Amino acid sequence: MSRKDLYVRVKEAATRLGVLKDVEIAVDRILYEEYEEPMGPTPMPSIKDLRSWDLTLLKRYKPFYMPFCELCCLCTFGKCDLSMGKRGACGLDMAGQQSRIVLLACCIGAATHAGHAKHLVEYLIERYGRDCPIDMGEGVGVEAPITRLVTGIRPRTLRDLEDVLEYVSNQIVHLLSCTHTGQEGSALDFESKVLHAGMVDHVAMEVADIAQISAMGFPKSDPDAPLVDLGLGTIDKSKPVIMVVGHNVPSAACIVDYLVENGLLGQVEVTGLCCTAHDVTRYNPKAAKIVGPISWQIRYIRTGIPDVVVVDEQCVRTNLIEEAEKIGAAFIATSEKNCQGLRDRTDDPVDDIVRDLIEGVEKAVLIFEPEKVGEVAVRVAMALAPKRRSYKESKASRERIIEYAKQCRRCMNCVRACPNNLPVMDAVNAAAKGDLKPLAELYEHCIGCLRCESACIADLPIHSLIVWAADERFRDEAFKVRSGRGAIKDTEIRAVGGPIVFGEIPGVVAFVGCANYAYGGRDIYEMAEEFAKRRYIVVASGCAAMTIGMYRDEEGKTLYERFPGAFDAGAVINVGSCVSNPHISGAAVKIANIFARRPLRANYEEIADYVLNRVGAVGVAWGAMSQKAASIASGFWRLGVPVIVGPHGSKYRRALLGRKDREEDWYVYDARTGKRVYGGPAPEHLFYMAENKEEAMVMIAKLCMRPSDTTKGRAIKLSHYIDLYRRYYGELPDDIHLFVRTLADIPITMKEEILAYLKEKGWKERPIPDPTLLPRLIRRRV
Amino acid sequence: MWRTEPWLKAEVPGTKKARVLEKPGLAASMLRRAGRVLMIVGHRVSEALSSRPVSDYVADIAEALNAHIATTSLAYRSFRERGLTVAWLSPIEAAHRVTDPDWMGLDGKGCYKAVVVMGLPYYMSWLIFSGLKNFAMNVRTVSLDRFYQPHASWSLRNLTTEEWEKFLDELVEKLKA
Ligand code: SF4
Ligand code: SF4
Ligand code: SF4
Repeated sequence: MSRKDLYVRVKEAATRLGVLKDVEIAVDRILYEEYEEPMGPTPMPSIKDLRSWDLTLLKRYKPFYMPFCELCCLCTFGKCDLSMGKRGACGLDMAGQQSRIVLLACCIGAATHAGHAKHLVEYLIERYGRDCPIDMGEGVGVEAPITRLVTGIRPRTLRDLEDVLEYVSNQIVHLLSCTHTGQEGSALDFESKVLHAGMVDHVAMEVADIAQISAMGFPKSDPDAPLVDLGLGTIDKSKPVIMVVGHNVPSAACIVDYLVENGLLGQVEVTGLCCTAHDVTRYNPKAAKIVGPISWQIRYIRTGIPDVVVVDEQCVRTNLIEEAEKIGAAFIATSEKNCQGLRDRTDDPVDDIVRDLIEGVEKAVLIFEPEKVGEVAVRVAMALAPKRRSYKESKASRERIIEYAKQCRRCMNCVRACPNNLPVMDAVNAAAKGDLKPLAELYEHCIGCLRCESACIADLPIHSLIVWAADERFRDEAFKVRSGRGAIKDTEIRAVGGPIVFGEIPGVVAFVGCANYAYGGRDIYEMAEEFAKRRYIVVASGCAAMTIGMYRDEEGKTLYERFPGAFDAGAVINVGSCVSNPHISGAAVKIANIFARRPLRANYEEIADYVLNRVGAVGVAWGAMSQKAASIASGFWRLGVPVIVGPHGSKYRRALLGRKDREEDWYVYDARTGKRVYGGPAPEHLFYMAENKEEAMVMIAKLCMRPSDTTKGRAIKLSHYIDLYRRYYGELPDDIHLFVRTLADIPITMKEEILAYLKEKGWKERPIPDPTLLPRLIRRRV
Repeated sequence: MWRTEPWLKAEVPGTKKARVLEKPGLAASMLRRAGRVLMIVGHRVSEALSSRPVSDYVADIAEALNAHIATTSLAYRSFRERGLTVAWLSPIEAAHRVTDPDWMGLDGKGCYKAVVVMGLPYYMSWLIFSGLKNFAMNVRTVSLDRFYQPHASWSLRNLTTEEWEKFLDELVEKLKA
């Protein structure tokens, strides 16, 4: 530990050894403060400590590598061609290289959250003091399930979080070092390290979120967290408008503070994208609005509405500064991770910075002090807004779109650059002939990446043409999203732990991650709606939580207005931003701890074994894009929670797939007897890429099954799986015999049909185990 | 030249690129000689060409080659109705099984010697072909989509929809002959 908690300086002291002069003594704080729970087997595990658990998982869920790149250029021996059985100059093979790249991605992801958490905790300590208590609200005794599980530390104050982050940082250093040339050579060991990176990432995220919830007064595990505005249509453009983008909230929060302190609340619009938007509305739901997910950055800025653009860190489009300049908006960068080549104005007087930005002496500045950012952003927005009327009111006319479209030279570069292979050229050419409908139809599917524009030989603002053609739809976007509630209460877990483990609540489905959707956002909304209607517990975070709020039913209501926010069957819950994801993994951990009374403290393997075998939870990262999403997913896998990604997720280049056709892969120990018994392919996969929405729906229902389901629970889960499958594919799935263990597992309404099918398959009853993969948890040996 | 470049421009392949299937007749005889064939089929086969949907061509090809189909697309039903051997198996899962030399196929009668891919998003096929190229080296892989897939053993060029339809018509005709 770098900090010393006891520090004594003695000028002169007489001791038995003689007289000591000018002695300084520093003592580390006692890290493991005793609390009621004894320390478990793996406090602060290093890379090797959970390796045997990882290898157990990886034996069942085998990596399938799909090299996104067949070459390696990471050292000067290279480039090395690793294709078709060849090895690189360092001896590495293709599987090793692919898993190494996955590890690199996960290290980037985990480091990003750890860096985020460090900056945030440092800032909060400076502002609220080291002794600021960790307080997750009423009904939450286990305030930091992941941190307690992994490190054995029970954090009581912000100070304790520094210790936790030191562990996280150490692990990331070791993990990253494993990717150097001539270190690890085994793909499976790389994969074990990937899981380790994911686990420490969940610790880092949890630290960030519990720090901000505790110190900044975000909703504290509140099922009734307020509904906040979402969408361009909710923004009053007659007011000065500030746009905030990124993930680390202090600057955005200080903008709100300045408004409140100066009686300006309601006079300036604070509008956000990505997780900073979630978190600033958690900070003050009345003072800020959410524009949309990451992919809305360009379409929003190009409306000309924002007067000031404030960026912090992560997932910020890196040339936003140019886009801001094009609309005459001032630009403020606020994070040392994202300085944009700008002059550091942190130590300059506010008046000078404000004057320079208003007069255009500088169009963009770098300010590291959040309070200063708050004042500068508001004052500049208020001064610029009246001058920028023409930008805000500019609306592309039909004629202007047609005029642009006529310049198309039919090179097809746009289509061949578009990640979603959208028929951009045909749409542009239809527009040239006066038909704007095909362009407008691309709006739903366009992820705003601007690759088409970069490739266009006629320099057409193609993305803008799409957005202009869909102008009405864009400007009418006005929805509600429930502000991120934070953790799940212990009391909620007590109420639903049983129904989840027994299977009567058929599953917990978490829609998480970014907005890189292959076929637009509607898919994920429809999935969330379907499973909420089926009375699964639907949770969401990050951009996914925004997207599922961006569609309405026939009565004009969003999912958040239709379904309750308490952790119970039929709920739709927004836990918050990316760093709120550990409230989801934490809920699974709490089920094991609070409901099933499994020891939590530093007891990772046992809890993960419990979750894998008993907690029917599945993550769906339908638009996963980032390295952070990769490490978040790996943290779920190590804990035994499977994750489904959309088609673009195949670019993570590795799946972790079970083989239901290999019976021998699915044996578990029956903890009551020690016998090895068939537990069925549940959950069937750990990391799965679905090609289409229907496949994903069926797979979500299937992956919620667990070996420990009671007969009643299994019957309920099977009925959802079969019903969804039949809706899309018109018959019974062909693997029911693997999931029916006893006659009582058969859904009552489908009894005859399923019995006939089972007979055909030669099915026989099997015992329902008390399942575990860990021999040490067997209570009685045979 | 662009005809035999990856359709998505940034998807630059490695050192070995797919051979181009120029003529339907050659494609037909290559496929006929290929041995047991698995077709991995995505949801885009519901796309309608001028006379019929792509899924009809898939069914015709599968029928003529006695090939099996792995799909999670809604075309699953029509394949069943045509009496084809089809499994609800995702493209990624199907490809993963092909990399296992001990996998006995959908009917348990032996491993596949060739894989034909149709109807997936371009990049997803790209990755699946790459997975098979590197981890199922004895299996011949063929793309019959309208875009060049460099990681396959054999692929069509980048074609217009009309050219593609003509190719598929002729291929089916030759396979049936
Ligand atoms: S790290 Fe290994 S495989 Fe990569 S370029 Fe260097 S020698 Fe080649
Ligand atoms: S901005 Fe939209 S249309 Fe252009 S390449 Fe990206 S996704 Fe395709
Ligand atoms: S890239 Fe530009 S010029 Fe080329 S087809 Fe597309 S819109 Fe037309």
